[in-house]
Amino acid sequence: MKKYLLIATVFLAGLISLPAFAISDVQKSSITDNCSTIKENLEKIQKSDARARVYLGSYYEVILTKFITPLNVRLVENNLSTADLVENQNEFADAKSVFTNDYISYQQHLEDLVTIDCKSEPEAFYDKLIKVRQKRKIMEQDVLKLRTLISQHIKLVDGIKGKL
Amino acid sequence: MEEVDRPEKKPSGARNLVVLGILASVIAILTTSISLMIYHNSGDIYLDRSRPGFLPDEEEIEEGGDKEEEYLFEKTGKLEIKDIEEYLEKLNSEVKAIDSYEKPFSADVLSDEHLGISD
Repeated sequence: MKKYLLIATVFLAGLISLPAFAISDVQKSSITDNCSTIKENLEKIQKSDARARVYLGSYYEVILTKFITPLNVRLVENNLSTADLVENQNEFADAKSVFTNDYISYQQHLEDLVTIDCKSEPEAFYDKLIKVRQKRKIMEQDVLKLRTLISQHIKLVDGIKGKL
Repeated sequence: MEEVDRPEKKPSGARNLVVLGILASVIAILTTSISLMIYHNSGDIYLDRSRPGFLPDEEEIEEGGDKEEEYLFEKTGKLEIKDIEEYLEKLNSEVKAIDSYEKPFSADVLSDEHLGISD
């Protein structure tokens, strides 16, 4: 019994110590050879992402503060408020702050990636790149969620017309 | 033997000035470092496009300058169909602007191929 337990422990320890994603020799040498080009590309991505965040973030802010919130206040005043619209407003506000927080986390990981010396540490670099990709995927989902909530809001507002 | 009255040694003004200068510089460096640390750790640095290398391009400033910033839906008053129609019209123009941004945060930008890593 002890023997099996020992084997299982060794096996698990081996699994944990393995990198999350194996990197091929070709990828490794490609990272080492093109290190400076890869870093330049990453820096460009950093800048274009900052632009995307400001662009989208300002539109989300306008939509929340100049459209959704004042409309809901007026609907309450006119006794036309619906639970769906209030819920949509809360969800949108939450999703907007999640978008900002996820962006900070994504940029922190991206910055860590840029600081790794890909010439001498291609494996660590690729491992981090995988994590940054996951963070970027979350950002993409956040943008989609906010867009879905806006569409939902438009649909709900359109439905109010019938009550007037 | 006669005792000679030595004049009392007064602190030198120049030396005090140097000490004050050094102290002021140390305090300034310390407080600036703390501020930068907070700025970085809070994540505000990533949201700030006024940092070096992240300033908006000229065409960007022109593009964003005339956005529908003046429109604000009135919080008070009787609600009529025309108000809702105007609201939806203005909102749709904002949505159009959001949709015009092509593939924000798309995954392919960080692909091996795009970054220059061959498989």
